[in-house]
Amino acid sequence: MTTAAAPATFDVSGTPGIPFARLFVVELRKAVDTRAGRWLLGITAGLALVAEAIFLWVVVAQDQDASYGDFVAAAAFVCSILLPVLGIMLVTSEWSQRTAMTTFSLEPRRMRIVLAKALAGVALTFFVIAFALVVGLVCNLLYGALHGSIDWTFGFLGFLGFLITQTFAMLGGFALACLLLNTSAAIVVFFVYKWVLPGLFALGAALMSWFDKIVDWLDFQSAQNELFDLPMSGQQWGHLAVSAVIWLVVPLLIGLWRIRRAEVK
Amino acid sequence: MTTAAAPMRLDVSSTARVPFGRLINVELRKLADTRAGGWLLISIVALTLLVLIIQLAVVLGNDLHPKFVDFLQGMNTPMAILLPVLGVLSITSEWSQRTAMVTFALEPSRMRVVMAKLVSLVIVSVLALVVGLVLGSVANVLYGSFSGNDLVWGSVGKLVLTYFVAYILSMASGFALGALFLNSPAGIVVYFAYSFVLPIPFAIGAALMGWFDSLRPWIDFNFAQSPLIDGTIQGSDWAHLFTSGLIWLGLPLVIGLWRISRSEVK
Repeated sequence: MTTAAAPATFDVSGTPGIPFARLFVVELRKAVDTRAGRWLLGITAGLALVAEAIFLWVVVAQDQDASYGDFVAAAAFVCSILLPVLGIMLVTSEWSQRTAMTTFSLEPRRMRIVLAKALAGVALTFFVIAFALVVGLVCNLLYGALHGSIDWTFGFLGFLGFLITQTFAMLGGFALACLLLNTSAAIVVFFVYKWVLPGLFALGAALMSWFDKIVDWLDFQSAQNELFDLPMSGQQWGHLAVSAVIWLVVPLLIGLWRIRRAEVK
Repeated sequence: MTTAAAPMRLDVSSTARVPFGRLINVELRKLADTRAGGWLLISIVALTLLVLIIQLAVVLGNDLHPKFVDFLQGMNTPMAILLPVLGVLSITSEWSQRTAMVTFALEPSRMRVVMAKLVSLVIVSVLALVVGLVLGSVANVLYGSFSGNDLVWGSVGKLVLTYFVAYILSMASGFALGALFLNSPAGIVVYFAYSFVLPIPFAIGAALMGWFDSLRPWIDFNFAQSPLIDGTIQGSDWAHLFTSGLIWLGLPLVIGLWRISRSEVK
């Protein structure tokens, strides 16, 4: 007497979804405990220290005045070069290292993963900024000891602007990464957009008066530079919003659509 | 009755080694027929076209009087940015795509493969220059027919030669950094940081300190290349180019080659 065995089913209906906080912690961990991520963070910190040491040495040797804000700005400039690369690799490494398969099997709602990644990127940005503040503090103390006088001037409005521009830089890399889903391509496009395009915009604006009128609405980098002179006028906020839609929102939306649809292989 | 079978041997002692010409051919093909390489080449040509079209629209709309040289400078911009990326990827993709295993199994003298890669990069720079010259000429002719102004061709032989040298140097720098890191993102980031970001602190340092200003041409490879691209290079400029080139091109290349010859292929 044989009875047909009931087909084996795997009942997950009673299992709660993965809490968002856990996704966030996992994504944060992915950014720091791989070889690529760890080296990137290590090099960012190392370069910031080297730049600060050179800056300190120059201002002391040349008898220049430097304030706390200047030291923080120097560290932050260095960090802002590599931070977006971290944002890019958060997304693209899932594809290049083929971890997307595991990630999206364990949490099939892909947008939750993307959101967790974006938040992890922002968290790392804040961590790097905190690092810049501490390094700047140490350097300013050293400067005081070596130079005799110490200046604690620190523009808080400028710092707020800096916080926003760093977050934008990180998210700009993130958006391009979602759009291209390829590490090399995203890094190339990001560097061209951040370091080459402003020069071309300035050239175009110098040559053509009509372009000069619209360039403020197109150039995300120069619109962000206004953030360092807070408070901004309504028109400047307008420039920022319009150029951010072009360079941040549009690539991000197309990228999210791609991630939703992409075959994970 | 059993006899021990003679151990199987693959006798390659009379097989000729892979000819160098074939290695170059293979490396050239690798640059063009992968998705990454193919798209990069297409992007370079497309961007060059785009730059020339924008330039043409601008000079026509503003009634400017460009020369052939100006169009060549226009086409040089995208080439100078993207060709070094090709240099980086030509070596790092062997590691990231794991083709190094096959490449170095079929040709175990790794330095021959590296040489073939370098030669293929030189060939690509020649091709890029030819494409750029053709596109620049077309733009100049189009400008003449649209504006009705006289065409100015001028003598560009020297400029073309300096572009060629500059492409070779930048591709070789990309290749050297690629060989140093054996990792695409690291190679690309360091190359871009060195060519776009580093000039800023160098310029600030030179403005602040007199001694650094006189030291800068000896250690800043980009700065040392500018007289080459302007076509004004002479005497001490060559010494600057050589010394800074040793730092940014020679040193990473030597360490990179050493790494390639020693590294485990996996």
